[in-house]
Amino acid sequence: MTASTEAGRRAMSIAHERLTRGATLRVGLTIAAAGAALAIAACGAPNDSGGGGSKGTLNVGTLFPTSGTVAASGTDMLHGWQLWWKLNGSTVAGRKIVSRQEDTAGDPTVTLSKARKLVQQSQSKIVVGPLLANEGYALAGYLKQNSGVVGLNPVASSDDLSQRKRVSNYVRAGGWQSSTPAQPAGDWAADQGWKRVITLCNDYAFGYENCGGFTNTFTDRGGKVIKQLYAPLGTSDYSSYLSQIDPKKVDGVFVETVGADSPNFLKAWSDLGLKGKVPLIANETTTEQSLLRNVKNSDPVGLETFGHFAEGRQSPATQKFVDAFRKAYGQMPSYYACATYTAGQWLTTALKQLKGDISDPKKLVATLNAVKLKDSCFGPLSLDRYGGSVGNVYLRKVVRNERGDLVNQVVKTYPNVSQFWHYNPQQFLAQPVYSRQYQGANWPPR
Amino acid sequence: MTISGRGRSAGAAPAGWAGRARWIALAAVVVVLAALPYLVSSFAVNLATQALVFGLFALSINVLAGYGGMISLGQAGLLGVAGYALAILSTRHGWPLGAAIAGALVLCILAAAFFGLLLVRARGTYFVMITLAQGMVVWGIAQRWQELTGGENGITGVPKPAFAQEYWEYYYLALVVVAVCTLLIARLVRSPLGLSLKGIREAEDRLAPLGYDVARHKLLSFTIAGFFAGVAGVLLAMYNSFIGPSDVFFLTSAEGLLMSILGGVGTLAGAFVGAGIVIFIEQEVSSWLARWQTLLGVVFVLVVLFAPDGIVGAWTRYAWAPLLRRLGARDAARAAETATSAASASVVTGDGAGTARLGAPVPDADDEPRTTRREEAASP
Repeated sequence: MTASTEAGRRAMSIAHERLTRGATLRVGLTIAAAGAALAIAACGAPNDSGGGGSKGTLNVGTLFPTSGTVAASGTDMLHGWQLWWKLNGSTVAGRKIVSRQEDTAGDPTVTLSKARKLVQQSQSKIVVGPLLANEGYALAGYLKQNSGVVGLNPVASSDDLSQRKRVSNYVRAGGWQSSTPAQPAGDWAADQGWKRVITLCNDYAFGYENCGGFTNTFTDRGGKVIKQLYAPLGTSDYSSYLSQIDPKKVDGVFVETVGADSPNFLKAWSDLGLKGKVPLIANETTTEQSLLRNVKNSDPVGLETFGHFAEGRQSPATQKFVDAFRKAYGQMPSYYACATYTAGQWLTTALKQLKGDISDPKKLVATLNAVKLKDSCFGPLSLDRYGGSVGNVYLRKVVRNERGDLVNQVVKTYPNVSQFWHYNPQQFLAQPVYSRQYQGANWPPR
Repeated sequence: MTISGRGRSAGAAPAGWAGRARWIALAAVVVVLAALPYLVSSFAVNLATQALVFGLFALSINVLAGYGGMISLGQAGLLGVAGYALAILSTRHGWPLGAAIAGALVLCILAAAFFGLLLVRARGTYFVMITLAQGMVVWGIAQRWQELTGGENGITGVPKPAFAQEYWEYYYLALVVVAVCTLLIARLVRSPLGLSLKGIREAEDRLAPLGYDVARHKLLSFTIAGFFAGVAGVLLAMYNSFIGPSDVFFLTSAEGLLMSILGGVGTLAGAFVGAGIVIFIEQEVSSWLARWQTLLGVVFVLVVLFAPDGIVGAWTRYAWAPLLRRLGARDAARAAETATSAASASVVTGDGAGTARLGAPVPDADDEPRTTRREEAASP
């Protein structure tokens, strides 16, 4: 390298004396480029080997968004993950688990670059996260190209990550599909004798998949979705949407909201006098704990929702988690915390089976896919052969408990709900993914 | 200093150490950039790749703002047109990568020309507002037109060229492409078009009576700058194998502007220095400093307060130009010429050489505190 540099310099100084300046620029750059190319050819590829292997510390990278618009939920993810290792010890099968957290800021591009950082700089062979669907797709794309790295996906819930765009080394450990809890909701609505329903969802993929799951199973049971309303993310005033709901013409309303929109929706629902007048069923995130714990009024009390997590579930696995979380962080855990806590449980189970040897990523993936949790804070969990999460779905009701917390209490449990509901997986996958244009209405055809 | 004078200054440096200094500096930069993958970790190489790509993007903003006085807040839209076109053509329609890149760049040029047509009569705040709106239109399409752009989820699986699959191979690809683009831009700003751009910045009203077609010049320069933003978009989409709405959002444009202001508006090297700093804080510092955004803000405020012409501007003014003066004085003494005339001549050279490491002139060096540094220049 030094030799070529010197040669380049000498050549440049000769050229410098002989030629005019414009030509010198060109000659100089050509020589420098040629020198650089020679140097690269001489040195070969840069060395970049990393650990993993079968012994010693095991680096796990976490990609949770602790800043940006979803920072509150992302912090819950971090807390849930840390809590698992705190309660269960960070040494598994003789290997010390060292976690390294990187903030994705809720941005897919940042997620990609942080994933690269965790893999290349921190030598992580396992990465956990992220939160948003678009971050999840971005990470899935990265993992597809880097089959030596294994991803755990406890939160990003896009249906297609375990349906049409599955990436085999990205495992839904403690994860879920957006439409899965909405499918029993549609079935339940038909059970209630509802015939005409209006749906209100957010105008992006998560909303389409929630409303799609509901519409699919509800119309399959003979129900009619008479209107589908879509509100953009960040809607602060829901009155223009709710004013389109005529109490006399509908039997019920299915709603999906996320983040700060949820309290806004609940307030408008009460203020416009629809509460108690029109039956309402909502999705997981509408009464999700990272929102409920900040609600001081009683707008959500009595609201029934469908979700895969219920912090009020009376089971040792759930209550142990909820109590430990409350003790550690002074508040009720959201499903985000339960998800990463479960991902820790999932990884621990797999590592024990492998006796800590993760030198073969394919074997690690196969073991992760075969994990069956008898009980977790979600309830029993496993993966189907498409990589979709199979677990309980709860019909939940918001109540105020003796401590004054608003809590999702279990009303009814739907055990072992598959991402395909009762349908044949192959037929189901022949549909396009739920979107604004395709909601699975009147499918399957009769 | 007049425009023609500055144009000459870049082309007529004296021999001797003052003249050699810029070649040594340039060679050092080239050698360091070429050897980088062997010197630093793979993650640092990735950061450098991103700094190059965003540096090129910032440069496309910088050329418009620094040379033409046109501040665009919609440049990320053009980056997005190219990035999305590449992603759609290559992943959905099965175009071979080369054809998809060409198609993406052609579409980007057309979009830039179309946007430019809407801009030719706008100035100042109105120009900024219209570019902002244009950028938001592209973002809106990226975010909401799900069938075309994948909506919120963006498009994954954008291929990389077969010869640039590894991180360090892609780094060299980006380095070569960005270097070629920078040389083209360096030529451009010295061309008659570049000079009339400066004229537009200084006195748009006076150029028209002199026979310049101001509208055409604006349109042409906006389209050319848009093309380079498009090249950055293509590099970015291939690098991440992904393009999404947040890449196209106006914050990306604002970040590009921030990069150029940090580095120095109207300098070529500044865009890359600014991009390097922003990328470093965003991706490295953020790992151990939760309030990295605050740090970015503080750095920005400090630069604007104490180095209004950016880091590269300050470097030129306080370190590089004095060094060249000193070297120039030594050369002059050796050549036994009259000391004063030689020193001032080399000062003229120093401005252009220091700021633009790839040989471009600096428009904003007029207020250099030359006289206050005379004593230093005289000392050996």
